[in-house]
Amino acid sequence: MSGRVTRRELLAAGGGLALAGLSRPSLAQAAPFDWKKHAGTTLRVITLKFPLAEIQQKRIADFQQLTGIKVDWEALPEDLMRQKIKVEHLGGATDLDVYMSYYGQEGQQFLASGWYTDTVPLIKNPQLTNPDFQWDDFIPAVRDGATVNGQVPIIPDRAQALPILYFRRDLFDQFKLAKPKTWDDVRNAAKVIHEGTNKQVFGIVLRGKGAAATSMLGPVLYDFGGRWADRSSGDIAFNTPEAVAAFDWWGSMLRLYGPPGSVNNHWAEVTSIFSQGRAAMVYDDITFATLFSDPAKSTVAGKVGYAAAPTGPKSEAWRSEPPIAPNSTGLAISGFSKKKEAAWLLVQYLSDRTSSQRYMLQGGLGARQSAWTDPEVAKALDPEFLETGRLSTQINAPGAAPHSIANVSKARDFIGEAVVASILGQDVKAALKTAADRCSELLKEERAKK
Amino acid sequence: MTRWLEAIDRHVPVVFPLPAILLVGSLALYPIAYTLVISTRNYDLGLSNYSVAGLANYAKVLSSSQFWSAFLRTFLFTGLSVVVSTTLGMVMAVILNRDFRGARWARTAFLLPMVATPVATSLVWMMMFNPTLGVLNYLLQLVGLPPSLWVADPQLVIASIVLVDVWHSSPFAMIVLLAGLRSLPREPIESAMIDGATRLQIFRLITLPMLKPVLVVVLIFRTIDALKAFDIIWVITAGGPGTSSETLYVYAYNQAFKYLDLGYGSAVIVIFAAIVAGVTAAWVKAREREWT
Repeated sequence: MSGRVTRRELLAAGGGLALAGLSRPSLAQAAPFDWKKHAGTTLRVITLKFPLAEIQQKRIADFQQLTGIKVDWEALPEDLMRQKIKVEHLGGATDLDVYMSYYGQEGQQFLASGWYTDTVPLIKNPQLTNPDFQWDDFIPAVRDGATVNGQVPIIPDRAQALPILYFRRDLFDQFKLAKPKTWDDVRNAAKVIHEGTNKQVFGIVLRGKGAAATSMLGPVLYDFGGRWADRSSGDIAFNTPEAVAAFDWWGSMLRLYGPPGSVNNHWAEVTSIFSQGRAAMVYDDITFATLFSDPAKSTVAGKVGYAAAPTGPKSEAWRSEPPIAPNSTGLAISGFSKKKEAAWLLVQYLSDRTSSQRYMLQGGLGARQSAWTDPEVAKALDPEFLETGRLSTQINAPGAAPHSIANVSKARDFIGEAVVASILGQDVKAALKTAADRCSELLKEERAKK
Repeated sequence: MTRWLEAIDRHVPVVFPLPAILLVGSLALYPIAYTLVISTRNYDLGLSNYSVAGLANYAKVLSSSQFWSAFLRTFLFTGLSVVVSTTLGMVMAVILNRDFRGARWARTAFLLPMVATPVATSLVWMMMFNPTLGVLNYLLQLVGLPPSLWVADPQLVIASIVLVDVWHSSPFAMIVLLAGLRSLPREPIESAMIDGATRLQIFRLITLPMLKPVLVVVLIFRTIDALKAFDIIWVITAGGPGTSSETLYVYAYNQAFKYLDLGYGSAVIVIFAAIVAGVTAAWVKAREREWT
């Protein structure tokens, strides 16, 4: 709900920006953007040690030359980074200007504590934001996920995507099957290949290890018309015939056409079964494309096709919805920083098209639309993968458990038992009811304690 | 200075063990006491609240069906593991007690599973159990048997993990029982042989009764060991499929460290500790009866 309003607000903000340009025509538009405004300042940054941060770090020298701002850059392993950022903020330190943050993990806490700076006024101000930055270039779903009640506390550095369907092109050709578009197509293809190869090749492999499966099963649940929870009230809502159909689909696919013992398969087992050529399809996270296409780790390299998450009877209804809860990862400006304008120069510079493009060339999912259409990226990556990724990043995934529950791992374990029951061919309806009842009780407990 | 030394002299029984007492106190007693305290608190890190709960956590534990399922599973696992590993250990001990060529080698070989790191061997077992990629099903098919789901089958998972635990712990039973056999007097056995008793009769009527005190020791150690089994279960199934192999330790671990409900998790652990203490006391009682 809030996401929808927010999107409009942002559009309105864009309109306001245009109006501001009209009222002051000459100054803002004619004069080139002033990068030197804060020359001589020093900024301190704490970020995560990971590929994108390395790309950014290599660009710091250019930034210093462009702006005259000195940057004190510290890249740390994840746990250490989190701890340090928390400790510095709890101590009220004002010399930390920019840090990397995961909204999904820590955002609510940080926002309530005033540790973020809202970047919307900065983005709106043409004196402070260079014309090439273009917030509109970010993928719409990424923008939605980054927006919290009209504020943008983190400038996202990567896109979140739905899981995708990987399939074996050679087997699909052999059995004259088309690229699956719906979950029915997937079932049919799994059956044809499983039976056609005399059960030597599994039709499909999916996660079955209880809680581990729920993040992958979430979109399928929504495709069949189910819901984890009511969007606005947060009440548990997966005790419905639609949810039973979705869980039953997942379980029966594995029972009939999947590997035996699926109830113990996490992503590690699932991906190794597929990369050893034992299965015709796998539906899992998009990041495994690099694994499957690496001849050193995969016997199916060069034979893998990519398809965006297939659809079910009710896909239209939810796939265009704004995110249920905000979720973004990227650089944030500390709420306590005394050099917010200079910090914003750095953040906008590091979140530009160049960073996003270089990240994609390394196999990451860029947050900007321009990176996805960049000629160099198009040349380097499989076009089918690019197209699949583009489609998948436009959709806001429904998550692995009801968004209203704080104890996510407990809720996932409850729901995971229903996944296992379905794979084993037990009563799915009863298992889902038990899971829903337990989740409702957990929610009630949490609400009472709050 | 001399007065100090005199004081130490006078209180030697207190002063000398003091470092050990402090060490044990801080490393063992303090955590136990702290667990007891936490078990009477609302202490849920996920909700960051902390308040006195009295015995509410205990009431919640005892009324939880998941707790009782885990309780039954723990005893099923323990019963199977103790009986099978002790029987197997006894068989191996009897065989190795006879001096044949290569007996020393065999003794060393049988001991290997005991010295292996449980987590590492459990990872290997997990791979061997895999119904698709594992070696166990391959072996079954070699001898013409149908493949099994092993730990992926809720009906078989406890038995499969017992198999791993037996593989691990039978050598312990064997080595203790072998030492017991070696220390038995030869005379009663020799006279029984002269009287024409069969080997089975000798074992059942003479060896076994004489070995009983040692056997009870093995049973006590094996029971404690099996009750607190955690590493192999956690590595191989983490309590799955679903909750089919969730023993009390796994249950407590999930509550405290996965769901971050430390109050409830501590209450489970305290109840569990009481159970282990009770079972051990029962065994010790049984042993005393043997000796009197």
